[in-house]
Amino acid sequence: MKDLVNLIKRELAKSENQIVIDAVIATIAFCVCLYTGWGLIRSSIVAFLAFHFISPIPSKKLASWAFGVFVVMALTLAMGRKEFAEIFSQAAFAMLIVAVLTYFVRHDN
Amino acid sequence: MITKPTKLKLAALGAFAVVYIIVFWATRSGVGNNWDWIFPYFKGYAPELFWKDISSWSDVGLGAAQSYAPSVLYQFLLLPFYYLPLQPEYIIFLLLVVSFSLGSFLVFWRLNKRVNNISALLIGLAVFINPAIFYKLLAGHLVYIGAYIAYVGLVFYLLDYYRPTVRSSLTLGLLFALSAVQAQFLVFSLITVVLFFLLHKQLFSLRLFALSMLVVALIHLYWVSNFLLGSVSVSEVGKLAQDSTFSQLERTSFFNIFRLTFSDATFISRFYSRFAQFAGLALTGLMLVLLAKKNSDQKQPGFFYGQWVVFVIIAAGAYRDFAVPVVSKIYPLLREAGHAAPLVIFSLLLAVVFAAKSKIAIGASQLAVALVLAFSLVTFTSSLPLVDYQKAREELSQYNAVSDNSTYRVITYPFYNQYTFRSQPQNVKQGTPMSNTGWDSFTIFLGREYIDNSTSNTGVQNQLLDSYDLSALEPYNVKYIYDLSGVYRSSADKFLPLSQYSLDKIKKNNDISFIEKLIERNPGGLYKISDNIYAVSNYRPRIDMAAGKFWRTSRTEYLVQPDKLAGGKITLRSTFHKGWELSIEPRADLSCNVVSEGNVTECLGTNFNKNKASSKTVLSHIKDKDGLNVWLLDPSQVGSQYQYRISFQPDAMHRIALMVSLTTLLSVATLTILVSRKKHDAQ
Repeated sequence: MKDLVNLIKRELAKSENQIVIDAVIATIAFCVCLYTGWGLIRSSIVAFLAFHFISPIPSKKLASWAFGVFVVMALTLAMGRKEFAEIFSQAAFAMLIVAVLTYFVRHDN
Repeated sequence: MITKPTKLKLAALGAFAVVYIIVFWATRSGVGNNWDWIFPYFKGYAPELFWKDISSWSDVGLGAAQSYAPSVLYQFLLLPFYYLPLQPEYIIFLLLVVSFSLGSFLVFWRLNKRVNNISALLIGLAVFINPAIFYKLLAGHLVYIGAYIAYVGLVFYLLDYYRPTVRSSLTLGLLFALSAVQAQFLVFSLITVVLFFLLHKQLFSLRLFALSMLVVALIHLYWVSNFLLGSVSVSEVGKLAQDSTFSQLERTSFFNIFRLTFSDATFISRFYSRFAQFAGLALTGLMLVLLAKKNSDQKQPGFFYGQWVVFVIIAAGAYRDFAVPVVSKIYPLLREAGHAAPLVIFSLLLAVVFAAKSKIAIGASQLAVALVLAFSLVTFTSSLPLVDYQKAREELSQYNAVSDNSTYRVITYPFYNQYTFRSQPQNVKQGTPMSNTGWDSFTIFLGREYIDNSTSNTGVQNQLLDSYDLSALEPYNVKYIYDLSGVYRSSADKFLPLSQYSLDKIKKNNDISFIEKLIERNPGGLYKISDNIYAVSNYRPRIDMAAGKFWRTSRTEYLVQPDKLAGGKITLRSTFHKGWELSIEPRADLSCNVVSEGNVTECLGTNFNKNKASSKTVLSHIKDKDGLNVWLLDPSQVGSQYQYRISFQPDAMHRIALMVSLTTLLSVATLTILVSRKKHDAQ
C-alpha cells in the first residue's frame, strides 16, 4: 500500500506541477476532516500538517489562494447570498490559518 | 532648543487632541446611560468608582465577597481625573479626549520612524476610531479602552525595547498588568507575548518570563487573593458569567469579522452602512494580498498576521469547538466575542502598514484605512449614546433629601434594568434601543446601600409585583422605597424573554401609581418622607436581636451590645458567607450617638477597639431561610458582661494584598520611569 502511494506520488510529481498535488492533498485532508465533523479549526490543523509534511507549498501561495476565495466570498456577500458567503469565509480563513502557520513554522516566503 | 522630530511629535499630539475634541464634542453635555455605562450624574461622586470596589465585601444587593475586580486598578489610576472639580460630563469628555489622544499619539510615535508620516497619522487614528472601538463606547466599556491603550503600549514595547534583562521583564510585567485591568487581556496579552517569543526565540528566557508574570500576579493580588483565599470560587464566578451569556454574544461568522461588523451583539452592523462594511472588507482583502506578496522583511507583519488569526478565532468563538481540559475553564471569561474585536482591527492595521512596502501598496493601504476611518468618524460624531446630565440632575436632585446616617438599604422602583429617562430622546434601531437604556447610574452613586435591580436579581422584586405585599422586604433591611417611576421607565422587556418577564409584570413594573397601590394594600406599611420617597414601617435593622445596641465600625465590622437576645439569636442581614465571624469580648463602655432608634438602636461612636480580645472566641453561624447570617449563642455566652464583634475575616488578608499590589505597582513604575529617563539623558 505504501509503495503504491509512493508510486502515485512520484507519478504525479512528474507532471511538473507540484502546486496541483499540494492543492489536491490539502483539499482532500480538509474536506474529509470537515465532513467527519471535526470542525473548522481541527480540519485546518490537519490540512496544515498535510502541507507541512507532504507539500512544500510556500505560505505566499496559500495566501494568494485564500485571497481568491476571499474575493468569491465578497462577491457572494454583495449578491446577498449570506449562506454561501459563510462557507467561503470559512474556507478563506482556513487557508489563511494554514498560510500563517506554515509561515510561522518555516519562516518562508 | 526643540528639535525637528520633537516638533513633529508635538504637532501630532496637538492634531490628535484637536481631532478628538471635535469627535467627542457632543459628549460634553453627557454620554452614557446605555448598556454598561456607569458614571455618576452629580458632581463629587466620581471617586466612588474606585472607593465602592476597594473593600473585601461589596455592598451591592445584599452584599457579597468581592470577587472579580481587576478594574479597581484602572479606577485607581484615574482618581486624579475623578477628583477634578468639574461636573461628571466634563470629566468624561476630558477623559475621552486625553486617553484617545495619548493612545493615538503612542501609535504615531512608534510608527513614524518605520513608515511615512501620513500612514503613521492614519493608523494612529484608525487604531482608536474604528467600528470595534465604537462598539466599546456604545457599550460604555471605558475600562476596556484603558486596557487597550496599555495593550498597545505592551505590543510596541515588545517590538521596540524588549531585551532579555531583568529591567525589561519588569516593564513587560507592568504593561501586562495594566492591560489586565480588563480581565480578558490576561488572555489576550499572554497570546501576544507568546507569539512574540515564538518569533523571537533568542529573546526568550523562562526565568525572566516568570519574573514578568510574577509582577502581573503581585499587581493584581488585591483581587486574585479573593480566589486564592477561598472567599469566592472560580467556578461560581464562571457560572455567573456563563448564565449571563447568549449565542449572539459568543459566536459570529468569519465574514462578519472580515467586514469589521463582528458579532450581532455588538450592534456595529446597525450603525455601519453596507458601504462602510465593504470598506472593512477591502482592508481585510488588502491584508491578504500583502501576505501573498510579502517581501523578505517578514518578522513584524508576520507577528501581526499571527495575532490577527488568533484574535479572529476568539472573535468568532471558533475555539469553543475544542473542549480542552483546564483551558475551557476560561471560556466564560471570553464569552463576549466582541472583546477581541478591537484587537482584530489593531492586528489588521499593523499587519497592513508593516507589509505595505511598494508605493502602490502604501497608497492602497492608506486609501483603505482612510475609508474605514472616514466612515467611523461619521459614526462616532453622530451616534454615541448621548444623555443630558444637567436634565438628569434636575430630575433626580429631589432624591437626595434623605439625611439618615444609619445602616439600611433602599429599593428603587421601577425594578430591573435597563432604564430609560422618560424625558430624554432615545435612538431605536430595528426595535432595539441604541441609547438611553442603561444601568441606574443614580442609585449606584446614591451613597446608600441598595437592593440590586439588575435583571438577574428577581426575587424580592417579583414578590412585590406579584403580591403587593410589603412584608417581602422585611428580611432585607430595606428602610426606604424611592419611587423613580416619574423619571425612569424600565426597558427590561426589550432584553428579557416573555418566559421570564410576563406582559403582566411589564405593565406592573412601569405603573406610575404602583406605590399608591402598595400603600393601599399595606395600610400603615409605608409613610411618605418627601415627594417620591417612602419609609417602610416594618423595617428591621442590619444587626437584629430582641433588644440592644450596635455600631457599624467599618464596612466589614459591627460591634453588638445586646440587652436581650431572644433564643440567643443575632442576625446579620447580609448575604450568608462563611467569612463572617462573631467573637465574644468583655463589654466596653462605648459612646452612643443614636442614628436609628427602636428595640435595636444603631449608634455612631469611637474607640471601638477598647476591649478587642487578642485571642478570640469565635462562634460558627448558619444560613437562615432568607440566606442571611445567623448566630445562635448558648446561655453561657449571653450576658451583660459581653459584647460581640462581627467581622468579615478575609478583610485582613485583603488589606495586605492591597498593600502588596500598590507597593509592586509603584516600585516597578518608578523603576521603569527612572530607567527610561536615564537612557533618554544618556542619549
